[in-house]
This record gives sequence, structure tokens and C-alpha cells, in this order.
Amino acid sequence: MPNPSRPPAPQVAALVDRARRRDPAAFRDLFQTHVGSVHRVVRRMVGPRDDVEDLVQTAFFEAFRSLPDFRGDALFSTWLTRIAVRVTMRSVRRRLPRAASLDDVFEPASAAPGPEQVTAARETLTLVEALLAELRPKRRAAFVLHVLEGYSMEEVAAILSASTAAVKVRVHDARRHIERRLKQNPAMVAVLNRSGGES
Amino acid sequence: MTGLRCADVEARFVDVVDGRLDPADSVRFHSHIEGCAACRERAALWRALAPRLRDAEPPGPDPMATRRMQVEIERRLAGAVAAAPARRWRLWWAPTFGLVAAAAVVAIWIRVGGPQRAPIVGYAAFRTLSGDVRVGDQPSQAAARVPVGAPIALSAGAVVELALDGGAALRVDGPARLTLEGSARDVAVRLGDGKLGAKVTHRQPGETFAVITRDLRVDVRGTAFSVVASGAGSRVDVSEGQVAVVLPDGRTNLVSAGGAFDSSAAAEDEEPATAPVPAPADSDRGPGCAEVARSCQATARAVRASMRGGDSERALRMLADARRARSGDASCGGSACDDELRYLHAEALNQAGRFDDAVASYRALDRRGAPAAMRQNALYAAAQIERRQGHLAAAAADFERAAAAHGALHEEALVGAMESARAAGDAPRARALAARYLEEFPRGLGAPAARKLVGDGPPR
Repeated sequence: MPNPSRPPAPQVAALVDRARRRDPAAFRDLFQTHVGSVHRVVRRMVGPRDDVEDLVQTAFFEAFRSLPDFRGDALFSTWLTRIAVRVTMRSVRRRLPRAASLDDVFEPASAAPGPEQVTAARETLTLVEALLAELRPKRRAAFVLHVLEGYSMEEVAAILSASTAAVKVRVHDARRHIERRLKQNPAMVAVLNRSGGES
Repeated sequence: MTGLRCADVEARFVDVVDGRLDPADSVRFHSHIEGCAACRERAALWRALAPRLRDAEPPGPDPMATRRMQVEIERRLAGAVAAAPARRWRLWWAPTFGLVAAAAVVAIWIRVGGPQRAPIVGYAAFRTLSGDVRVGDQPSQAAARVPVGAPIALSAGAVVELALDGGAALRVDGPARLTLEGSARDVAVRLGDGKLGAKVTHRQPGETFAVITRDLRVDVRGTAFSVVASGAGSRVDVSEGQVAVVLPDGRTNLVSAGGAFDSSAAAEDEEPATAPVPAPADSDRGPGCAEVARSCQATARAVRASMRGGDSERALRMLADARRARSGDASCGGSACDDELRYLHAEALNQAGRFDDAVASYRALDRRGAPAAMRQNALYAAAQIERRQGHLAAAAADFERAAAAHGALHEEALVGAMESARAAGDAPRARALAARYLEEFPRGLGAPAARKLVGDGPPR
């Protein structure tokens, strides 16, 4: 259930079949169908870096080139996400994720007079990206895939080529870190509550 | 029923949020948190927090970025087809054998047909072939598939017949140069020079077939015709059905069976042609060109980064520097990366607010014969600028040309053309576009407006 807007699995399977037979229109349709979710996962994993597009297109290029290796054991979207995560992790190892630090985001902002200029949604996104940027890459990947994208622990383990136990530990560590940060800075909770429309 | 530990409960927080717990698990989960204050507190926190974190969704790629990525992926896939055999060989054997052994291995590879992963090839195959015919750098043979984007060159006296997956047949007489682009549903044959005859079976709604020369485009639904392209111009002869010949300025001429169209005769009314020769692939060019291509790609990356940072003036300076640096590389000119730089130039002008220059640059990409997706993107962008500036007739024409290709912006371009034509007061054109929209997208988002337009018109 990570992406309820995605077309039904049989429709995607038919596209994959056509792409395996090297139908260029099927490649195009698969790209159009999945580019949004792949872009979202990559962006959540690396933050607002200027090479997000490059990573997304590399992921699709590697996936399309490897289609003969896709056995259909998993959903195409899961297989594609695995490739996107692999491409992204490779890049993250070379370069740390970039996002405004939490201290930059919140301490000056709480004293600043003009938060009206920024919409609540954008402020929340900045907060979430700053929180994610504090996580180590493996924890961040597990947290993004499980908590934000809604993949099960077992699916995350398959995507990250890790054991389910290892994924549980990474998600737990990520959760504990975020809980600690929220406790330290109640302004963050206020921002999240505002975006949720509740107090 | 076995109880859950705190760690097991935490592992189910997301399942609770997403309603994925089965009834037995749900009972165990809730019985644990009733007796465990710490888990109860954390479960409540994450039940509230997870949806909010999810809602903070980063902005997705805009249509331009999406098209840019798609163009780049298609280009890289086409490049992978040409490069795959040599690269595989290097990976497996280069450390062990020298150049002589390499030749033998490549020969075996070719005879056996290569291992493993089949390359991605296009939508056509050579049915018959005589004389010297090359695809990229390689001589070709009958029954071989033709990769999309690979340049095909026929020497004098050579003849090929191509069978397209969609049912069309092409005959090309050498000397000639051509490239197949698009897909089986969206065929685009780019004819540099030479004579091409086509027999096209009827196209289904949403399918297109076009032959593009440096000075015109022939759009077809189902017909038989021939095109001769040379430096002096292009001539189209139609033997069955009807074709639409579209000129770079958007003028369209319908040519029926028995009729002909000669671009050199029509040139008197046109602006001076600025379109250069269509771009050859990297493999067609000299050995130093690979370095030039790498430098071009590095420039493109740097320009994109500047533009994302909002510094369009810096992007324009980098593009100007790159153009100056490349002015001595005429032998390497016209690569696919050149198209990318020209597109980025148009985008940078647009971002810098130099709208007239941007529109001219976007249109130049279309005249130049950039890849279909890039041309559609460029024309769509030009049309948006024209519409914002109140040049509605020009916007309608650009939108309509963008809608000629069946890419990601096809439907939006058709709606744009319809609305701009209506706003420009060209009611007959708007109705015709609305009817076309309803034929292609009867349940599309623009269908209510299209029905209103069609309904408003006089009886037809």
C-alpha cells in the first residue's frame, strides 16, 4: 500500500512484459507511472540536493537495462525501488545528505519575525528533511521506506538486502533519535501539529 | 496466544497506521499496550506523527524535468545498445588478453550472438538489404533489428526495405542517411538525405507516423508516398491517401493521391532557413569527439545545477563559454548533448525573463530537429510564454505543434491549443481542436470544455 495511486498490478505487469519485448512505448509508460514515487523516495533519502534528477534517471536507466533480470518474484515497483535505493546509497556514500540543520531551522526561526512568508507545508517539509538529514544513511533508508513509504519490514529488508532484524533495529534507532529531537524542541511538535490541522 | 514484546509492538506501529494488522495480531498488540504505558505512549505518538511526516511530501518533478529525464534515459538506453558488446568484452577479458586476442573474442561473440542480456532495439527490422548499409559504425544485414536513434547510412546503389512493427513498410534508396525515432505507436523517420518510399497501414487513434527532413515534416494516417531529401530541399509525392506536409513556420499543406509538394517551390514565402543538418550520433564522429561529448555533458550538469539554484545568468554565461570553446570543433558538431545545451539555453532565457529570446530558442530546437520529446517540451514551453504575453494565435500554433507528438504533454498541448484558439477568436479552429480532443480523450479533464466548444458552434 505504499502508493495507492499506482495503477493495478496486472496493468503494470503487462507494461513490464511489453518493455521486456523492448517496446519503447512501454518504457515510456513505466517511467511515467513510477517517476513520481521514485523521485519521492530518492528525494527523501538525499534531501534537497541538486542531483536528485540525475539519481532518478540513473535508477530508471539501470532498471530498464536490467529488465531481463526481473523475475517477477516481487512487484515491479518494489524491484524498481530497490534499484533506486541502491543507486542513491551509492551516491550517499560519496556525499553526505544535505539539508538545513535542525538548529538552523528552528532556533533562529522561532525568534524570527516573518514565518508568514513560508507556508506551513513548506515549513513542515523543511523540518522533516532536517530530521531525516540527521539520521545515518542506513537508518534513514530503513525509516523512509518503512515509516514514510509504508513498506513492510520484510519488504524493506528485501529492498535493502538486509535481514529483517537489522531493519527493525535501524527503524528503532531512527525513531528513538526523532523522538529525542522532538522532546528537545517542542517548536518542532508545534509545526508538525499545525501541518496536521490539530493541536 | 503468545504475547508480544515491546520490540514486536514497535515493529507494528506502521501496520496499525495503515490498517494492516490481522485480527489476532491486533488483539495481541492492544493487550500489550494496555498493560505497558511506555508502548502506549509511543504508539499514540507514532500514530499521530507518521501521517504528518508522510504528508510532508517533497515536490515532485515538474513536467519539464520529467521530460528532461525521459529524454536522457532514452538517450542513455540508445547509447547502451551501441556500446554494450565492446563494454562486456572489456569487463570479462581485457585484463587477460591483448588486442589480437580481443579481435578473436569479439568475432566469437558476434558469431554466437552474444550472451545474456538482449540489447534494447527499436520497432523495425531490415526485410531486404543490398549494397553497403551501415547502422552506426557496423555493417548491417537482412533481418537485423534497427535500434531507435542509431544513424543508418546507405552508400550509392544500396537499397533497404524496412518492416515496422506497427505494419508499415519503408524502402530507402542510397545514397541516403536516416534515423528511426519514437516508437511503434509514434513513428518518426528522420531523413537526412536520400529517397524514401513508405507504405503505411492505417494508424489507430493516438498513433502517428511522420517523416522529417531538414525543411519539412510529413504527417500520415494511412497512405503510400515517397520523400526525396537533399541539400536543395525536399519533395513529397503521394500515390495513395493523403498526407499533411508541415513547414517549419507551422504552415500545413495537405497533399492527396497523385499530388506532390516541393519545399524549394514553397521557399519563396518563407523566412531564411536556419536549420542545420540533423545531428549524427557520437559513433559517427571522430575519436576526439568522445572527449567533446563528455565536456558537453559536464557543462549540461553544471548549467542545470545553476538553474536549480535560480542563477540563470550564470547558466547563460556557462553556455556561452561552452559555445565559444566548441566553436573550433565543427567536426564534432551536432551531438545529442548539443540539443540538450540548446534546450537549457532556452530554459535559462525563460528563467531570466528574456521571453522573446526564449521563445525563439525553443522554436529553433523544433526547426533544428531535436529529439521528439525535447521538441514537444520546447514547443509547449514556447506556447506557455506566448499565452502569458497575450499572443494567443502564436500560442495556439505552438501548442498545436507540440500536440503533434504523442508524448507526455500531448493532451495538455491539445487543450492549450483549443483554449488559445478560442481566446484568439479563431472559433472554427477551436472547434476542430475540441473535436479532435474529444475523439482522443472522450473522458479527459478537458472534455467538458471541449464539448461546450463543439456544442457552441454552428451545425457542421
